[in-house]
Amino acid sequence: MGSRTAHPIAIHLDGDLGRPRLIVAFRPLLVVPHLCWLALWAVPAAGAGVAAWAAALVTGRVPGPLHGFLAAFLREAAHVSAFLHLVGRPYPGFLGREGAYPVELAIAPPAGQRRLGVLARIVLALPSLLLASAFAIVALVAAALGWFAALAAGRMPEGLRDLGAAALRYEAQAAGYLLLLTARYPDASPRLDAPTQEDA
Amino acid sequence: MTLARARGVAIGGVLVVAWVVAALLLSRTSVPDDLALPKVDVDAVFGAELVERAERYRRFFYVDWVLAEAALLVTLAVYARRGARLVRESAAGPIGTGMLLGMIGLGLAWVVRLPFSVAALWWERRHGLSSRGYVDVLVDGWLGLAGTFVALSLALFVLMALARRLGSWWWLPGSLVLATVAAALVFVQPYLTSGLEPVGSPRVERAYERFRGAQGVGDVPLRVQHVSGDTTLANAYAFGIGPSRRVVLWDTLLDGRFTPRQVDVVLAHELGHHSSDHVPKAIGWFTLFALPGAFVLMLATRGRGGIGDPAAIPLALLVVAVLQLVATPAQNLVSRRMETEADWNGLQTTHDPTAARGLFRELAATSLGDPSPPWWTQLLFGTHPTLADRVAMADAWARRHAPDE
Repeated sequence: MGSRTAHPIAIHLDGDLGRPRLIVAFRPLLVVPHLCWLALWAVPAAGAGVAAWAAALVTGRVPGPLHGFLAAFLREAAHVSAFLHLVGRPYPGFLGREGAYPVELAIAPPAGQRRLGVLARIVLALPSLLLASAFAIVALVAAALGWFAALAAGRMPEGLRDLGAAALRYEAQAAGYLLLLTARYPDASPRLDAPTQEDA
Repeated sequence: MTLARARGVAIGGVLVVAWVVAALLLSRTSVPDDLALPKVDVDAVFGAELVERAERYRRFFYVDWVLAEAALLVTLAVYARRGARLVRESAAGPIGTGMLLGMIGLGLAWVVRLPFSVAALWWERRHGLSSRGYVDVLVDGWLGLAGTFVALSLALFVLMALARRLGSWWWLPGSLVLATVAAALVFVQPYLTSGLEPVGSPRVERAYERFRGAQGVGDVPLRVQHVSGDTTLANAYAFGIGPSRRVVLWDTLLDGRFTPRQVDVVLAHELGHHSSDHVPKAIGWFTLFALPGAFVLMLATRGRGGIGDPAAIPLALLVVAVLQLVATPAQNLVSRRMETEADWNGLQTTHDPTAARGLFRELAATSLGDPSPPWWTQLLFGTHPTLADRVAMADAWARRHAPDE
């Protein structure tokens, strides 16, 4: 097996497993304003996705502002999802700012993409989106189990947190691939640490 | 007196005068000023046994409500003292953090009141007035909380953003913005209410069209809401503004317990709300209550950095709960005045005080409504005139129109 570089979309976790019970109890409802906000944001994001696709077809690269806008949307979705699934502790913000949340979705700057891959992106992304929906169920189960555990102990079990994080990472990578934030296919490896050059 | 203080006093004076003028204008009613309500022998009209049974039934709700309010205020007081520490559980910035603290407070309020809601449901089920399941109440309450959280977040977003920009003057535009949001919600509510269907009774529809023409109400559809699976209580309501106006009858009104003439009285009463513009007037009253309420809120939260500071939100929730409690008698007074006018409009339209008397007697029997409750319960819960007063109004109308009938 040859050496691999880190995936351009990676998730970084902090070590804080404490989850205050009061916020755990209402967690599914606390994200409702965020979900409304994301639903609104999804409209221009869809438009930006189409524009990014057209631009990448012509120039072989997604323009920086479009990439930034879509990256912020994806980061915001990841922050909200991390909070909902008890992967992250604090209540997330609404702007998807880089470095604003301890469960950070790091997204590499725009890079060149093959036009053929851009043209067929929706078709190519379908298998990963199917797998992402399976990962979503995994994340939901981990969150449901973690919800009871955190409600009882005030702390998220590390294994469930990591399982949820791995699922969220795959979902984010699949969405990032579809939105042309990266040309790299999602990484289905269950390990959280990004593969490095030493992996062989 | 400094210039700023003089300016504040002047603005305050103008606002007070405007408030009083607006309140006077909104209070105008078509009910004759000289209408004297005759004394009603409650036992004779409603039956002594029903009155006693209704009193016993209602007493439970009074106790349940007092306990629920006490539990709520104690919980919010504790939250006001200790809730600010939750600020560190947020990465959402000041306004997002304020939303979090607001939602947690409302969530706690829901949890604390839940046992009392369940007790009230148990009491209704025991008297055969409700067949809702306990799980349904829990699930509906939980889902309803989601909608409340969104509305609260929106309100806090507006108020906190204004407070952070305008400082202690936020309450003035803030209350006006809240009133605008309330008007928008009132407008869209009929479009969001599911399960409203055409009545399907030609007789009812004909009567409705006749009354609509008589009261000069424009195109306001009549709809029926199917609630008989959950309750035996009978009810109707008018809602919406402008093109979204609707009149809705619960299907329990049409199940044969009420005569067609009694249903006519209900139709004319509900149309009476629209013909007297009660919904826009209610928004006007909301604005009038919101202005001093927001001012008090500004004063109360000033010591914690003002409402723009998320740490002040738990205290703000307590202040709002207390303000709501204090304002309840005044709000009920406004509501009773509107209901009285709608009753009067109904009588003027149907010319049928006998049916009105029968309707109010039947409502007492089917809802176990106390026809003549203690005065203090009217202050706290009386959104409508007492059933005894409604019968008295029908009698007064009959007397006034006796020579013409």
